[in-house]
Amino acid sequence: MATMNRRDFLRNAAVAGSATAAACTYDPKVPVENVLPYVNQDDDVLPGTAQYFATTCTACASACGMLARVKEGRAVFVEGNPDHPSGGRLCTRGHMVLTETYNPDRFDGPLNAGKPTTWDEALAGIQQAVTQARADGKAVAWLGQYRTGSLRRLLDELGAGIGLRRVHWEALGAETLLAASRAAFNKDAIPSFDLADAHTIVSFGMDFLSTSLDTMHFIDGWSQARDPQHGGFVARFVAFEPRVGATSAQADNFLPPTPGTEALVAMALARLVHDKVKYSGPASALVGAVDVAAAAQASGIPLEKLEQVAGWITEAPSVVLPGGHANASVDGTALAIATFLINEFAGNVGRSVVFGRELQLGQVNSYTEVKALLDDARAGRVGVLFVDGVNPVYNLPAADKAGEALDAVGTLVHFAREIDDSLRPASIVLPTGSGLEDWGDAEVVAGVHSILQPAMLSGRDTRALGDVLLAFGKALAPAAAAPAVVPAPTDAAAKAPVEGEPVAAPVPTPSSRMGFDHADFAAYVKARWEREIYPLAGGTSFARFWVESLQRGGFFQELPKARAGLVLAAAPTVTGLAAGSDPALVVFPHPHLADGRHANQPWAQELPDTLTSFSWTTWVEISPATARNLGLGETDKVKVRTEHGELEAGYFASPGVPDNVIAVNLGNGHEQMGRYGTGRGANPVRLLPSAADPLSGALAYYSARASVSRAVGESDAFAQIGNLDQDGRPIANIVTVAEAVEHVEGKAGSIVHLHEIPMDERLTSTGITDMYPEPQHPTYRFGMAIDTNVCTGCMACVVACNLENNVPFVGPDQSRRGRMMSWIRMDRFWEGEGEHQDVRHMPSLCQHCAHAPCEGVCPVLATYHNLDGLNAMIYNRCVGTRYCANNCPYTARRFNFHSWQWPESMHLMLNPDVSSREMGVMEKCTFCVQRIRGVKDTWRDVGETAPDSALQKLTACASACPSGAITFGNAKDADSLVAKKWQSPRAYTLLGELNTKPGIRYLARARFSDGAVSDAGGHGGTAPAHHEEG
Amino acid sequence: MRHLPGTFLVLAVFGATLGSSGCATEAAAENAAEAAFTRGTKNLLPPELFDRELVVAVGQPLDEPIEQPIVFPHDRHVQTLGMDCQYCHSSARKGTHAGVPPTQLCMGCHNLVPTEGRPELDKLKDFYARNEPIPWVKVHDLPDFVYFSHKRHVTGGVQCQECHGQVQEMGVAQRVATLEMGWCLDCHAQHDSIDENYGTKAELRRAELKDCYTCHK
Repeated sequence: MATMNRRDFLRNAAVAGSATAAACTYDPKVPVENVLPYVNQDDDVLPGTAQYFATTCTACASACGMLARVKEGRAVFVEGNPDHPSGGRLCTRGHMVLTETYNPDRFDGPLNAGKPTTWDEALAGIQQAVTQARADGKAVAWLGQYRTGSLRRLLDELGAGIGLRRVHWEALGAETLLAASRAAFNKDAIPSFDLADAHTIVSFGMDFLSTSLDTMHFIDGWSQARDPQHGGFVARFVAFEPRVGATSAQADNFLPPTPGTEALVAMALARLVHDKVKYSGPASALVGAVDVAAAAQASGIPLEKLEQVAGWITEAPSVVLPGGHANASVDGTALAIATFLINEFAGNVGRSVVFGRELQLGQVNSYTEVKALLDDARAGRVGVLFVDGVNPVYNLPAADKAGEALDAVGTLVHFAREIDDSLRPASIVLPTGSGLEDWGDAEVVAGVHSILQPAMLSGRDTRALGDVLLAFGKALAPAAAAPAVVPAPTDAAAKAPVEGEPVAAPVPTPSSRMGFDHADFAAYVKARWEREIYPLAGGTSFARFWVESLQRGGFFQELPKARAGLVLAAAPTVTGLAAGSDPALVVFPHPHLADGRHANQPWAQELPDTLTSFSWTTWVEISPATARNLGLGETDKVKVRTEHGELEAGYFASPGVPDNVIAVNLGNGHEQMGRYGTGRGANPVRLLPSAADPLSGALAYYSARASVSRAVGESDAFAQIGNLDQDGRPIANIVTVAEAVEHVEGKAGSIVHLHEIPMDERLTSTGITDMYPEPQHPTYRFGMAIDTNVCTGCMACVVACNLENNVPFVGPDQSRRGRMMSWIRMDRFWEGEGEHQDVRHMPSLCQHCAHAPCEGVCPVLATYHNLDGLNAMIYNRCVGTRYCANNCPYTARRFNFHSWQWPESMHLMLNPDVSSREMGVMEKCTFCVQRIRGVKDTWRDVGETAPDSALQKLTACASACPSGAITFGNAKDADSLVAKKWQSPRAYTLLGELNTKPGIRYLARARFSDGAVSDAGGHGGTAPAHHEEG
Repeated sequence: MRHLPGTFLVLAVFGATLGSSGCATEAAAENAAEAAFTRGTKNLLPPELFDRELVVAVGQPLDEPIEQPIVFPHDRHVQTLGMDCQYCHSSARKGTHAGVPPTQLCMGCHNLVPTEGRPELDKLKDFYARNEPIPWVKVHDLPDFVYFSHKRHVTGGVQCQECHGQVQEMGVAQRVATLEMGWCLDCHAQHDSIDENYGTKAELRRAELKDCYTCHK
């Protein structure tokens, strides 16, 4: 024993202890782990080192550029591709491409009526059914999402060859915008809205910072327009919208018109702008008859306010955004046309509303066309129906009886990865690869040709959609039938009255025909690029162009901005909401689940909503007064009833919802989904009538009136962040826009008005103000700056952090107990009221304090301050006392109450660079120490310290942030961006009065002084007396 | 007690003594709606360790011969044929993993080496013909929460033999070092290469090398 040291003693004691305690099963056999080398290794594979593949995001129709990080053959992270015009931005839903790939509920192979089958059998059966249907004179139809690029071409040719009746529809689609663009500009595309130079942004309900198409382009412009450093101004955002949503939470002026009068307001505004700029031209006649006073009266917005907004629109460059799906009513197209009129009068067309780089979404069909197809199916006129990425049973109103229609189809074929509501018992399921597994391309923004390349193999018996279509083409429409190029049949019944309406796919001319004689879809894509994209680039070697395009993620042309002349013949007629005394029902998309397509992605479910902080369910937003009148308690739920249906859900008394509005989110309430999405919450589409906007045929999500009452039982909605209010503490601070613009360079010192807390005289007189010595940072002091002025609370940082750091999801039950594990908490404070709603988002994470309160209380030194300025957390040293979490003033630490489980196949998504934590261990933000060590290692090879350019976007949150609000770097380097931001006059430290010396500084939000609650944070106030004690 | 202490690293002594639930079952009754979120206490350990929580091996037993799918003679390749370690373990100087060579690399030579009377070479060719990776047994297996970079050590001037022993004299490689944290830290505190590489900054480098984040993340 004399030679036994402490370590040996503990080791022996522990082995003895566990051997006794676990006497039933103690087996000393050493587990055998294998090393499996490649048989043939690619030259560019370096075991343990990541590879990156440039590809394209498939989470929605916007097709943003994406980089997939691949380790040992599996993708472990996705982020934006900085070489792509989407600017290296990737939204919350874009990250779901990764979880979709590893989702445990994916189909392993083709199914026929629920039974496994082979591809050959399934395809032969379908081909036979197609031939039979054509012989019987029944339709062969396609109901799918928007498709562009090679898939669209393939569908065009296949469709022409076999007479395919195609309907391409998105639940959160763009029918109204396209119809308005056609009517107003005679353009078959949606203009691009450039926010960057707009001093005033007026929106009529477009969810442009969250779910509207091309969100990343909007956020790009938004973050520039809001940054006083960019153009010496801060854009004012005016929102005419029925409720404060994910986007209008950022509004400086929130003006909810009486429900149903949005289009009237827009026309009135058009008239006011027209008069202000003394516009003269043929378009003058369109607004001649508008009665501004009557519109003000009907909408409840004072005439003076409308005139003020018209003044803002005209006095400086501006942009007026249409409604989009968030405000899709029976007046959807009329509203969009009216906003185009305002833009025309204000001179914005060609400046901030531009063609040239317009959105070409491929074939866009409307809800009424879907309905017509389903009516035909119900009548037995559809022999074969292919369903590709749409979920009509979930997304259509109950009156449309989509389920019955699908059941009446002879042969129903689903291209799907996972089960959804629309899958019928008799469906043939053809599983496709995920967005990280298949080849493809996309051309959404004109001139932007993006490539999808597989970052990994599927490991399941899947095939790319393109490969299946090629097989059909070879079998059903062989080359002999080539000249039979006919326009895709459109449905006469659904023809909408707007001129230039449908929507026929451009007919391929025989000379440009690609045919089906390609080895596979990868070869097809490459051949089409050689034939059509390569000539645009004008290079000398296609092989070289192809490799460069793969590395870049595509081929991108910078097309000039173009103007379009207004061709509108007549002012749109405004119908308004059906009369009634009940509040209007607003059905809005969930910021993470969107139209419900991501409902089986556990992270999309667990990420709290940006405003309510609810997760895993559906909720009803009502005004605080309504909640009071109903006598609702915190755990009560409410019943929402329309004449079409009813639902029960938890509620959120939102300060941003007027008394005459009830809002319910889309996304949950699936009857048939995978393990994470089934039976959570309720489906608000069931409350809607089968109503459409007459001009575009779009589903009117905002067309019913509903009543709300108290329901029996307990709500399943729970808020992860309870407080709406900062209780007078200066946590999320604001400055006025005037101050922010005047002091961009930081000459004036701080302009953030924080509490002054005088330090105790006994401390100041001795000069010793710290209990601990100042930590030394010889080389690096890693730090972060978070600009809350451009942060939109989108949660992309949270989901990127979770995926990078193997942060587990815990499910609704454990979330409700407050055990969610996300290292970043999106704090949300709701100041102000009425027009001057002031929602402040603030990503809150470990502050990496120089004097961290957590460190001193750890009994086993599992957490400490290191030489790089990181507050280190060593998991295998932690014994789980939780003292550190109790002592952290920022509640930044998370405790593992369980060993959270990743089900089979999802465990492959784990990042091998980061330890997974077990039950009983504390964890928290590490500033992505694995990335820090990686970049230091790279630069150590050349004997240098890491430069600022390698650090600015290093952490997962900083690289994910679409608005560039998060900057990382070495604060010790005075030239680094983060050090400069730390010196910004808007910079402050969170709870700085605690003298924790954080490694994160926040930049205060800028508010217009007419909307600022007070110049000080929160409701102002002074220091509580007890702080005097020091 | 069996001959354990040398071969096992015990993770958390507190857990071992407090958590006398070594063979107790997880009593928490799972609600049906929560079935998608099953939780355990030890699911992150490999399945064969489920019954023996808190114990993680660092590889095969010390100084004991190991059974490999192919009896690979390191001594013959190094001493008789004069091959360098990094001819096969080629990513040792480039990446975190030293890398076990792809079978293709073996076959580069063994295509030309006669196999008569050499059954081990037949095994090699069979694996290659079947396009099947050779399931080598890991001799050195650090716990999953330890991140070791071969590149930093090899480029810093640490000899392979300092950790892996005189592999050039072994037939099938076997483990000779404890691979425990104290053993790592001994070098991190005073290895000659630190002074050679960092000169006046050696003291700082030694301090950095004691940071837990050097290996744990």
